Amino acid sequence: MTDERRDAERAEHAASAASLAKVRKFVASYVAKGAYELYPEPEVVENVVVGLAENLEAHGKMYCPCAPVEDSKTKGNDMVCPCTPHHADIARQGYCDCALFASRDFVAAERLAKKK
Amino acid sequence: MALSIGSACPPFDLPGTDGRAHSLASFADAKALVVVVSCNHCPHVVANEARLVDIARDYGMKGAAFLAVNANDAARYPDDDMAHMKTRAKDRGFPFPYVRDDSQAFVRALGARFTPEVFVFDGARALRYHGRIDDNERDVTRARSHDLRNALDAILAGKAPAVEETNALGCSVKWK
Repeated sequence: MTDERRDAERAEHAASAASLAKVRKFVASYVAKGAYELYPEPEVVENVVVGLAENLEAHGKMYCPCAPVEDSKTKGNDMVCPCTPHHADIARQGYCDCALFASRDFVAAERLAKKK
Repeated sequence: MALSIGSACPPFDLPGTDGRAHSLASFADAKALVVVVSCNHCPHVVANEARLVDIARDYGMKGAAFLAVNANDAARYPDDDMAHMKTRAKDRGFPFPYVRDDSQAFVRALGARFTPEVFVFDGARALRYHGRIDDNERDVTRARSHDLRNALDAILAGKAPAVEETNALGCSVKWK
């Protein structure tokens, strides 16, 4: 299924295609900077992208979908993607708490483990 | 990596919100054991709570037992400490034990990475299903694949689930 088709289906009850496109553009541009890669499971990444788009639409900012939005709103932009703690989270466990961005080492290790 | 299909359930002995300790022996009579790696604060968990309670009630009558385990680092996420877990279990009317894995040893042994993430063990406590509850956390009425229910139907009928592994989608376990 293409991104456009999938986005159209989700737009019926979740985020709009415009919000999804905005999030996808942000995610691609952030990864292009080179510090991190995407979490190595496309279905997981897609779920985070949809969650970010839903929050963008409902709350005006890309609040992390892995944290309660009402709590996040009390923390300024700290929990707006890319959130303040994501560097520390990736350093500690290899991926951010939402499992959107991951370190190169983590992604390489996951690929190696899957091959085995 | 997560526990592989067919592996034995790792041993555990963990304190519950009910004030009792729960171990593998506590579920000796169950025809299946569903371990749900969970927590208090994750929006994905919250979205799945009601349907999980429904599934636990439905399949509890058929001989399956459920256990929810919270291993999140309560120092970084105080909402996940035992006191908040007790409130949660009471408010939501969990029909299953909700236990705290402070050492994170059990959840690490499962190889869990997300909340919620389910591991279903058969009567011999071998892993038969691992992954998500269903394929639409946002709206259960739109779910097309009820993976946990399907797995339990198969296991309780003495069969292998048609789908043994799916991707759990949710928040990451908050490791220490």
